[in-house]
Amino acid sequence: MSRLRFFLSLLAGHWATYLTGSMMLAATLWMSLAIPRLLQKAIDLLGRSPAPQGEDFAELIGWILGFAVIIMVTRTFSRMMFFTPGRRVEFALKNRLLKHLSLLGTDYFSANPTGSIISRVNNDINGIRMTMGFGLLALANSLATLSLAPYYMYVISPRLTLYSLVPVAVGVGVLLIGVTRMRSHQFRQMESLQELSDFVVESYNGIDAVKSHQAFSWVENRFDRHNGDVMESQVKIFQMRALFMPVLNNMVNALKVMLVLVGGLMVVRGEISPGNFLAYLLYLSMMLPPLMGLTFLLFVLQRGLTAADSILSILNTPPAYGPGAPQAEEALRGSIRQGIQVNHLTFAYPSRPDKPVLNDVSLNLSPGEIVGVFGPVGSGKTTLVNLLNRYLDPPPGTITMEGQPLQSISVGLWRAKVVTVTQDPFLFSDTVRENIQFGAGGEPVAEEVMQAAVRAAQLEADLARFPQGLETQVGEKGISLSGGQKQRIALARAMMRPCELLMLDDPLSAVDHETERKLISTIYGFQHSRALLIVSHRVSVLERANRILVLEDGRVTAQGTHQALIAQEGAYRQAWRLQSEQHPPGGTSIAEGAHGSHS
Amino acid sequence: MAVTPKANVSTRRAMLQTLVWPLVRNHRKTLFLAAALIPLSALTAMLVPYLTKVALDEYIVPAAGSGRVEEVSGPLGVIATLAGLVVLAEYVIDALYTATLQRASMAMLTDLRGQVFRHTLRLPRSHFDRNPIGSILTRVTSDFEALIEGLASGVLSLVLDAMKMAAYLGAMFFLNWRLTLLVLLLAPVLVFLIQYFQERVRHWFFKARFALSEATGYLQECLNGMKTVQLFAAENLVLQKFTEKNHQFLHAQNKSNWYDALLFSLVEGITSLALGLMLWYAAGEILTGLITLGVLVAFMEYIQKLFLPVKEISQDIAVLQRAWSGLEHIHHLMNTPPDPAQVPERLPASGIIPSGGPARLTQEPLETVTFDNVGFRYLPDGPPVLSGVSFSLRAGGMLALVGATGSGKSSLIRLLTRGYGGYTGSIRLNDRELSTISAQELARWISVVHQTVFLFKGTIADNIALGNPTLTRAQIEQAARYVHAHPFIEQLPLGYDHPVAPGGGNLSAGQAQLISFARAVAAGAPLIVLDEATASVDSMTEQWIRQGLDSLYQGKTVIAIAHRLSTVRHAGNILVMDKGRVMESGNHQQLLAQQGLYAALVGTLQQEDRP
Ligand SMILES: Nc1ncnc2c1ncn2[C@@H]1O[C@H](COP(=O)(O)OP(=O)(O)OP(=O)(O)O)[C@@H](O)[C@H]1O
Ligand SMILES: Nc1ncnc2c1ncn2[C@@H]1O[C@H](COP(=O)(O)OP(=O)(O)OP(=O)(O)O)[C@@H](O)[C@H]1O
Ligand SMILES: [Mg+2]
Ligand SMILES: [Mg+2]
Repeated sequence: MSRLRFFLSLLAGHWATYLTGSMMLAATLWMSLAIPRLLQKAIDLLGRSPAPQGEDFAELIGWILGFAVIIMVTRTFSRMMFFTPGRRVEFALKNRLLKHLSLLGTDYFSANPTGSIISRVNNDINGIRMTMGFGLLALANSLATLSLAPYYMYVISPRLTLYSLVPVAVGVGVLLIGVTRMRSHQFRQMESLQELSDFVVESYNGIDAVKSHQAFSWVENRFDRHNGDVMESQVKIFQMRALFMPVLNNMVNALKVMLVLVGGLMVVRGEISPGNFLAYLLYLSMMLPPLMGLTFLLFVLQRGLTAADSILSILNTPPAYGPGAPQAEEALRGSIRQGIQVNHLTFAYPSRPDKPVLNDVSLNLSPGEIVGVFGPVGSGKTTLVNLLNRYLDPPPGTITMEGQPLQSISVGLWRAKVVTVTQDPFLFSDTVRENIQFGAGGEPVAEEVMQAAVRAAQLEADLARFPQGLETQVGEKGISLSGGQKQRIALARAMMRPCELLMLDDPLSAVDHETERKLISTIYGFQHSRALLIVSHRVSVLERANRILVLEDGRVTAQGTHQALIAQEGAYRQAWRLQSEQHPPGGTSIAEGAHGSHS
Repeated sequence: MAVTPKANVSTRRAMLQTLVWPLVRNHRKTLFLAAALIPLSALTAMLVPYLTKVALDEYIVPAAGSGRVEEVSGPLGVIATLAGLVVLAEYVIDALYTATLQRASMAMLTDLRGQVFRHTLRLPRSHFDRNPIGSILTRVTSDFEALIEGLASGVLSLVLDAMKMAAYLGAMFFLNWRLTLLVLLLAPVLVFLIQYFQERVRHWFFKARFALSEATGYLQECLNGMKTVQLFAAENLVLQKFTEKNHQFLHAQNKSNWYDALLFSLVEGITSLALGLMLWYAAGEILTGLITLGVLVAFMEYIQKLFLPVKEISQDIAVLQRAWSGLEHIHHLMNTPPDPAQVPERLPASGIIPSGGPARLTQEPLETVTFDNVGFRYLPDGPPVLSGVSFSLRAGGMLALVGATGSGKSSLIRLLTRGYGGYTGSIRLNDRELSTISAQELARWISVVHQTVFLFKGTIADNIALGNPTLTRAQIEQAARYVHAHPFIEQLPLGYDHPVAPGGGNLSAGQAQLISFARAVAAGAPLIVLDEATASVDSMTEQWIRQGLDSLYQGKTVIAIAHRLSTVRHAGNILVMDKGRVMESGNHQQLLAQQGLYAALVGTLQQEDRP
């Protein structure tokens, strides 16, 4: 979308308001410009001998007072009629941005950190709003006043007006330079402030590490650098402002001085009346606000244009996922029979295109099947999960559902069928209930379903100890929960919706064996027709899977049941040895006994 | 937060004394210069209309239409030159005034911002539980924007505008006191209206601010959790919530705009009214020669200039109030007592927390760690998270904590590292109560691997060293080798200089955990605390780590939390926790023999699978 079309699209629906506003504005301006004329007439009437007719004079005064009162009303409305659409545009644009952002993919978010997007949503939309409200008003106001006032002035005296136009032109020129220069500083200032806030947020997020390592001076030095940048850029702006802002005010004052000399002599020569002199003076004063408005307008307009660019850079980013093909999606109606296939999948992150993280991986996930994924740190397990849920974009043709290529299915439909519990689950700073309900994506959740999920995720005992139970606030990112509680809430969240493939990425790393055992039997017991993919380092989690995939350095090095894998040399068998040699014989019976006694 | 908290007189004074005054004192020279320019600026602003009046009354009007140009042009030239000089002076003074003032206020705020940030870093962890990071951030950013505005344009322009008004009024009285009084009749109306509308504007302005910060906070959370939002196809849910919050902002902002527009128009209208009224009254006096045309003209100029400052003053007041409420928030934050553990023993006279290196500490060797009947709750009215926990650990020993999830293991560690205070009972290191040991000292005794991994933006080496300048690259590498992180780091194109994405986004979960582990090893304290330090790591790597650490742990003291037997079985003493209590303790063999909770928590492999 081009800038012009963008602004036009914003204006759509507000034309009537702007039009009424402009009419109000025109009325206001006409009246306020009439007042000096009226004053001039009144004064010249006073200066005339014999004494003026009382009625004429009273009538003039009456007009002045009347206009003054009407102006208050029309001025108010004219301002509102310009500001309100600006605000509405801001409102609509914010929603539109979030909506669009929610269509964008990982690449976008890793290139644009949260802080910079927020600053666009707040500052840049502000820039647009100002353009659409204040900017347009200033434009109408300045254009009208600056064309009418000089006209009236010209009527009084062409020569004087020519004299005044030269300094005005010079003054506006100087200001223009100032505004242009200011713009780059302004940009730098916003940037440095952004960097500062990003840094501050990061420091607070890592506060535990900072404290326990007493890394204060490291953090503080970095902060001071950012803080110094902010100061420097701000001071530059202030200096420019100090230099350029008083220019107009002083220029108008200079014009008045010139008027005293040139206009005064004209009065002496009898070329203009004293009343005219006075009206001229008033017009000069009246030029000041629109002139200031004009420079302000230039400033706003410039800001609006850059803001539009920056916002368009979001809106013009194509959604990460294309629409689905209708025939392909038709094949997915109802439940799935063939499942999901991964065919010779090779994948590298864009930051390291030379080093594939997954290498020729093939895999079949049939309905009702449980597939375990095992592999050392960094072997590509999470990457595989993220490709299957389309958080990452797999190469075309490598993943199919029901025989239909992944790219031919809309992401909405895909994700209705595939649910993931991520390795580092994100919780919202809301209640436990809201966090679990979130899994239903806004659909209402029946209380029994909620209770069943809570039970299945072994959360009952924890919730019983929270004074507010399900309504307990979990804090930012779940800060007031224990590691295992977070994981289990994420698990409950994933149970809110039926799906065709459930993927659990190391879902039990922070829970004890006892809880793990109960969770596994629920998870495995939950299994009906959907496929389950479960990633873990623990043999105890994987052993009941129908098939276990061993990933090493991005390659599938072995595949088979638990029994088959422990019968052959390899990473899986090694791990199984290590994990089981730590368990004394007879562990099972003890566990069973303890289980009965304490839960 | 929606409304400005009303501070009483004593907190106001405290605020001025502790926050504002030290800043003002540090920059008093510049501020004094700016203040000295104020009367000059007011004087120059008053002079041009007055000179115009003189020119009109003395030269122009008497000679109007007479054509005696030669007579008048000389004096008019002089007046114009004078006025021209005044205008020039006005420009120079205004520019100088603005520049000095704003530079000073910016410097003051940069100082203050640094202090506030240093303070927030040292706030107790509980503060971060209750206050979202976004709102603490507001203290350091938006509140400061308001303050900058307030200091840079609020305080002194208030004085300047008041002075200008005084100058105009003085000149007007001097020219014609009766006309001045007449104009002043309108003043109470004007002041009342401005007061009323300004108050409404402010009220809605604060509401709008609050709504905006809510909406922004929510947006930030959505963006941080965008992956979760998308994976759960919850886009519409999130959008709906966001729209609601936005709508509140729109509503408040509209209200505020209405009052603002009314205020603007009123001031403009009343100025015109005043002009009309004045003319009406003056008509009689001009005829009788009591008022000259020059006086009338000067009055018109003055009235326009007079009413402008009235409006500006009310705006200044609004800006100041905003700044004031920002200051109050900051004051409130600065008055939140810092974590006692994080405060260096002796503060320098200025009260500013130094940014320098660690103070010199006497380093006695760590001999024992003792918990004596320790109890703890996060909130005074919350459930007990720990109760009656007692144990004692000698240097060189290893203590393991096992327990169901949520049983209070991490909480116990947070107490030991002074993440939280306010426990009951006693925690001692070498017979020194924990509360008497500063965090700096503590950091030399204890290094921790936290359960939640956090990596900073920066290189891998940065993240391992975490600002410790004494660590060499070789030491960093050594630490990474101990925890078996070296092999994967080595394979990265930039090795230890590999840039870590914020939050560790471009590493696998296990790799991030290894780096956080290496960080604790590099710190090299005699007591190492591991809170599930290998939860996301595979068994082989874990074994390598254990081998690496076995040599490292020689003579060191270890507290380890783990669900995995591999980690805990070697511990000399194992505490089994449930619901905040120690249920069993002893070594591996003893506990297994008890056939209680421990056995249940750590061992569930199926019998038939054993080799
Ligand atoms: N965003 C990214 N950009 C570049 N490289 C990445 C990114 N995310 C992960 N990697 C790299 O890809 C490899 C595989 O990572 P992945 O997260 O899939 O491992 P994993 O098997 O899940 O490991 P873990 O058991 O530690 O969770 C790792 O070497 C990691 O450093
Ligand atoms: N900041 C906090 N504010 C309030 N309650 C908290 C906070 N942190 C933890 N809790 C609560 O205290 C209890 C103990 O939590 P803790 O993190 O110590 O458990 P844990 O034993 O480490 O569990 P896990 O093995 O799951 O990590 C939990 O019920 C948790 O909800
Ligand atoms: Mg992973
Ligand atoms: Mg924990």
